[in-house]
Amino acid sequence: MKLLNKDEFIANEIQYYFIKNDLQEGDKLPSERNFAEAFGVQRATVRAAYKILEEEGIIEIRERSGRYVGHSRITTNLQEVKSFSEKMHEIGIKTENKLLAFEAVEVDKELSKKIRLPIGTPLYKITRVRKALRENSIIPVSIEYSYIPENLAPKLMRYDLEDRSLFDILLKEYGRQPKKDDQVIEIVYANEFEAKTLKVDQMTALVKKSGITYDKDGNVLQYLHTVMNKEWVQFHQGNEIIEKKINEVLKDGL
Amino acid sequence: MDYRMPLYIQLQDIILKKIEEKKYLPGEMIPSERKMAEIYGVNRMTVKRAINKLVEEGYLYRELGVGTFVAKRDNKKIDIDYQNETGNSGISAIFRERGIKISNRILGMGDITGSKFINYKLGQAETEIIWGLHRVRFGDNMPFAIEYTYVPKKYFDDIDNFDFSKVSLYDYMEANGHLPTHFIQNLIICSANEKIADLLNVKKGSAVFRIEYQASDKDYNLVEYTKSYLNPEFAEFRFVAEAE
Repeated sequence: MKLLNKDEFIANEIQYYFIKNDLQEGDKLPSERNFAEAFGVQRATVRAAYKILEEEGIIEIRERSGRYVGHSRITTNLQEVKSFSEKMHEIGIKTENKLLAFEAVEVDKELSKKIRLPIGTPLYKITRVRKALRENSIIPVSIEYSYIPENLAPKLMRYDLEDRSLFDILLKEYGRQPKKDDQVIEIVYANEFEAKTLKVDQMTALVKKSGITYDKDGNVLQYLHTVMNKEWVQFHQGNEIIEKKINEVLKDGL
Repeated sequence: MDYRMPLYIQLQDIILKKIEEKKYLPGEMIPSERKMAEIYGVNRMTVKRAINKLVEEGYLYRELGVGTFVAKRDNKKIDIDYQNETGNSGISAIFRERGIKISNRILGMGDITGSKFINYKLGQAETEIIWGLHRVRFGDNMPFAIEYTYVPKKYFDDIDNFDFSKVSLYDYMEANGHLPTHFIQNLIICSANEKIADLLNVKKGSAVFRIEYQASDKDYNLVEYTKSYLNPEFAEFRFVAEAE
């Protein structure tokens, strides 16, 4: 084994152990000694492997208690045009949506470039915080700024923006179907407001996802600017045929 | 620019033009607010307002007690298209199209046996031999990605004979009839550990993109598993999703 160091190799195999044994978030992990015996390596190697997994957020250490499988992440499926809360439900993380502000604004020069509408266009600006509801805690996961052209959804304020997804309201109340999403994912650093709201330190790295959603006629339905806690999100593009093939091998008992 | 426009907007325009025309270069300090106020015969507050706006928009940045500088970010940032079903080019192809010189340093290559994890990721039985290639990739001589790539050896008998610091891996795979065509991709943002930080020339613990690909060829043979770490200074991800 020249390509991978021993600890990297073992870190991989521990991940395979999770998959094979279908370990879930919060499950306790085998001791260093157990794995050392199972893989025929030194305990120090297992410890180093665990460290790699900890750095990647795959496992977490609880003080005086040991190592556990880390929490899962909220998955954004890159092929689907779906609202955030729908995505959350898919992987079983319960969320709460808090409306921080609903404002009527006009497009200014800066926003104009992003939303591709002329300055002065009336918009609704909706600021919401998404929180993941955990067993013992509530964790703010993201701040979402949605800009919706007023003419596409007049009197949007009447609807419940905390319990219903925005796309659901746009579809059912205004007959506007989101058709195309064009988004960019970047790393940004928390400003004072973001730090306070997401309960992280200022300048903590956050994930920014921003872009436009269009309806089928090519109208701009929404400009969304989301900043997210990086520990809680992942972006995924699946492929059913490939997934099936991989899982077959797993079943055959590698 | 109309002369009747507010002066701070005209000033912004002047600065942006100079950045565009490379009169102010990325990383270069621009004249002080006082100096600019003098040159254009305007109030210092007007200059301040123009510069504040450009700092906000990311064209400029301030260094306390030193001055205002042209941001490097926009000039260095390279879009890496999120690969999709139709786009079959690897990262290097996309870079070449944009005129950036890609080079590679090979960290290691060779056979891997006995890794249940990697065989699983490639959908291969445990007995299959896997061939791995670990590379640091450079754009204009700056490291932008670390790539750990694995392929099933059975499709690529003579793979050891190629120098993948020069030859494109995808060109080679295509020549063998197994060009990665369909992808599963997973993107997270994680903290760089010591090794990654060192190779990418970033601070330990700083945020980097980690993207995993599992790819099949057009006949749905699994042919590639890649785990790659990218320096966010050089990359952002763009994706387009369309509803049925």
